Amino acid sequence: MRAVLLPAVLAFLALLVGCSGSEPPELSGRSMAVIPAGSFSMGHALATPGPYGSEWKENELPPHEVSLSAYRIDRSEVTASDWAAFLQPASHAQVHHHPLQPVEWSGMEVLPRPGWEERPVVQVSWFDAVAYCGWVGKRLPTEAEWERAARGDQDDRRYPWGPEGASCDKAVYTTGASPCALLPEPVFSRSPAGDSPEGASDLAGNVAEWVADRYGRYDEDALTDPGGPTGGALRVVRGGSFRERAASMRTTSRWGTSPHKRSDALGFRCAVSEDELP
Amino acid sequence: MRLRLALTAALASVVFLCACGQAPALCPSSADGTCDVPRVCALGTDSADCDAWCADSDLPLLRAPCAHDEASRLRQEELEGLDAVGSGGQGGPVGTWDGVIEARGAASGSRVDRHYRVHVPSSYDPDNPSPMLFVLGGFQVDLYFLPGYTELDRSAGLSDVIVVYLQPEWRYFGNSIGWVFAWYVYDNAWSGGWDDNPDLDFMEQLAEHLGSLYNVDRSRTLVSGHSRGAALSVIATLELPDLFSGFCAQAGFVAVNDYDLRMAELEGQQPGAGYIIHGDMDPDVSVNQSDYLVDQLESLGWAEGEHFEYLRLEDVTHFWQPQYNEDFIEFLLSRPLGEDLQQ
Repeated sequence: MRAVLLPAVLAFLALLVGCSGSEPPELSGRSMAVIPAGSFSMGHALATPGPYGSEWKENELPPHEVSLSAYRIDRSEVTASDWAAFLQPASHAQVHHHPLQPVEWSGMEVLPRPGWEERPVVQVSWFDAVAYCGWVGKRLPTEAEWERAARGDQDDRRYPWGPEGASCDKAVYTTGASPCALLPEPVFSRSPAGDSPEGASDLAGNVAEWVADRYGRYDEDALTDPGGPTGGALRVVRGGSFRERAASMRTTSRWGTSPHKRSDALGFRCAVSEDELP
Repeated sequence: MRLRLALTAALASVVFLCACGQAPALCPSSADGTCDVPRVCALGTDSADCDAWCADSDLPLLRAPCAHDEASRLRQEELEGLDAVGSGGQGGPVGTWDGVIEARGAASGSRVDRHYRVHVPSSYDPDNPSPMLFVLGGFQVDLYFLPGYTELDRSAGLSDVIVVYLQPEWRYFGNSIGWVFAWYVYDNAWSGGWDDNPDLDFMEQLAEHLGSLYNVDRSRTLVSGHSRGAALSVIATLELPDLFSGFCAQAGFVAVNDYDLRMAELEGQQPGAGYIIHGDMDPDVSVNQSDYLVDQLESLGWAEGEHFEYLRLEDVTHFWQPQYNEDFIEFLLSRPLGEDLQQ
């Protein structure tokens, strides 16, 4: 991605990477949704497409059986406050701060931009997301873990809340030509109406989310704890954002982009395997 | 450009050292053969050990330090920047706005107002030339439908591209169809030949205008379209080779108005870049049309993989495929205009 390198911004960054440090928070599963071990059908079932398209895309095919070990996934997207804490050590800020991220330097420490404290962090690359999750003792969810968390284990629900259509009281997205919001909303703003069966919020809409896997076509074979293709330059993004339509918020919708890219509609959440918890 | 970026980065280092008196402290147990980050020490403070481990292992515990190191390397590449050719425009708002510009009409000597919508991502920086992507809808499609349909506003933010949606003229197609939006690709509905095409003039005028407003990368102006807009995207790239570096044609065609015959006359023209997408269940425009387009391009010396990609998708009908937005933009941006073609 092209850098934004106004001298003033760089001077700010240079100050930002001061010598303060901070310890990562203690790993706790309290704010995480608990997903038991089990199997589900991942991807979209093949159906005859309409002449002018369908909500689902060919990259969601074929449906395939996936078995997952027990894990937990953050109930919310990582916030700007969380991100500001991560940027306190100089070596973190030097690499992972970007001038467009919703944080600022107070003169003493990195703080979330006013009004963004509980909004999801944006303008983070896949590498930034991986580094943050590792810092808090977690990891990015795999694509299969993300989809299972969004759709539950007992049905192939279209959205995390169920088969009912999308509306602005369930998710932050763009309906017709009108966005529900012009910025990402604070996390849990649509909870519990828009929550997944296990209580994860904003899996549909608000900001799209990086997951761990490389982007590629699905295989028909049944898989256990899949981690995605071993090759390929792009990483998977899930969940849709405040900029996208309802079709992009579906539990099976997916696309890929280069891991170094950032945008004002792309964030992440973290996960951890049950056997990795203390 | 690179010199300026390097000087700016050097300035940042000086300011940083003045502010802190020292660089970030190394992990106390650095260089002991064990990667101690991120739980014991901050990321980036034990790179000597972690780099060696990242090269040899894919342990879950190493994901964070390895991602940190890769991000650090990429940050350095960002500092080096792209070889871009800026148009020099310094103004223009960020966000979405609508505009009107005058361009050639269908009748000889006439001028008409043409409408368009611009989406400029929040990352736009006038000091760094930004690529620009024109988007052309299909027959009867109003431009205000296109942002949601193509999801290209999302891609604008990811790739730092200015996206421009163009409106076809409002034209009469007889009693059975009536008044609709339609590009000038069929039936010689305009006065003159391809050199006089009203839509091509619209694109030229608009590129010039936006280049005066924004700092547009003249070596990376792209055009994409669906159906009839896809046909025009191919035609525009071939007819205006010093303006467009590449096209993305989804469910398109070139066997229209004898354009395929005209293509044969373009032999010897330097290949541009193309990304062709077509579903094999398309009921409106047969996938054979894109097969034919590929044949025509190859006869002009375009090579698959080098100059163009062709995605012939199974079980796909007449529909824009937004899940390939990032793929086609990345492919086309990596193939800028040669220096001899830049305006």
